[in-house]
Amino acid sequence: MTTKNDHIYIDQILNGDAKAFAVLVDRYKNMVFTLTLRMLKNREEAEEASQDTFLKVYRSLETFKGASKFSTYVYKIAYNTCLDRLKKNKKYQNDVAIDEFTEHQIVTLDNALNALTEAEYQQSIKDCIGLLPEMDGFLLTLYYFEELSLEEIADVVNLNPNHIKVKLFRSRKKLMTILKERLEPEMIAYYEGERR
Amino acid sequence: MKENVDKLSDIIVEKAIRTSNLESPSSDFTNHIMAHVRPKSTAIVYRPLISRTGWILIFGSVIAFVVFSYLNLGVDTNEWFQNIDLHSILTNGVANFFSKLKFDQITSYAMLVCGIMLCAQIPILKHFMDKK
Repeated sequence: MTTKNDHIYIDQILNGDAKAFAVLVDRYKNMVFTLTLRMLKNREEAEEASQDTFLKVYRSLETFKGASKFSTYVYKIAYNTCLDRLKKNKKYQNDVAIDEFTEHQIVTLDNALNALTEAEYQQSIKDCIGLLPEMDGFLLTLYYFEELSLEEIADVVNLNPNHIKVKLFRSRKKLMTILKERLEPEMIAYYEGERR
Repeated sequence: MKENVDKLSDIIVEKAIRTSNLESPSSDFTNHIMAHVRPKSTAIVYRPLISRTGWILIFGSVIAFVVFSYLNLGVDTNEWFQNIDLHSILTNGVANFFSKLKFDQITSYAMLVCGIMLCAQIPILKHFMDKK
C-alpha cells in the first residue's frame, strides 16, 4: 500500500478512467469507516460520512498535489466531514474523567485483559473505544493502528504536533480509565488478590 | 516511576488498538460510491461565445431586416431625423461645452500620471492573470 502505487490510480482517474477510483475506495474504505465510526458512534451515520468522504476526495482529486500521503489526504477529508456532521447534529459525547494510575494498577489491568478470550478481548476493546470522546478514538487509531507520525496526524486534524502529543497522552489515560471501569470489578479484584 | 506508568499505559493501549480489528462498511459500499462517480474529462471543452440559438436569432433578424427593407423600398422625405440639426450640435454645442472646462496645471499632471499608471497596469495585470 504505497503512496507511489496510489499515484498510478490517481493519474488513471485524472485521465478519465473513473473505474480506477474503485481500487482506492476498496483500499481505504475500512480505515475511513473505522475512523468515522469512532467519531460519530453510529454505523449508519458513519457509512454516510464515509461515502461523502470518498465523493469529496473524487471531486477534489485535481487539487491533490502529492505533497503528503494520499491516505493522509483522505483521512483529513474524513475528519472534516465528521466535524461538519457533529456540528450540524450538535452531538458531542461527554468527556471522560482521567484517573491517575499506579504501576500496580496497570499490571493488574493488563493481567485482567490477558485473561479474556480473544473474542471477549476484542469486544471489550471495541466497546471501550466506543465510549471514548469523538476525537480520542480517532487520534489513537491514526497513531497506533495506522502508525502515522505526530506531524502527519497534526496535518490531518489541522493542529500543532505538540498539541497532538498532549492529546494522545490524555486519550491514552481516558482509554485506560474506561478499561478499568468496564472490566468486571471481580476480575480486577481477583488479579489484585493474586498479585498479593 | 511516572515514566514507567506512562510506558506501560502506552504498551497496553497500543496492544488494545492494534488488536481491535477495523470495522467494515456494508458490502455494496464501493458500488454505491461508483454509481455517483462520473469520468473526469481530460480535454478542455471550449464553448462558443455565441451559442447556436444566438446565431439562429441573429441570422433570423438579418433576414427579417433585409425582407422588411425590400418590401418598404422608396425614399420618405418626411423622415423625423432630418429635422435634427447634427451639424450645429457638433460644431457649437459640444465645442462650447468643453470650452468652459478649465483645468489647472496640477490637475492636468495628475490626470496624465493616472493615465500612464493605468496603461502600465494593463500589461502587468494581464501577465498576472495569464500566470494564474
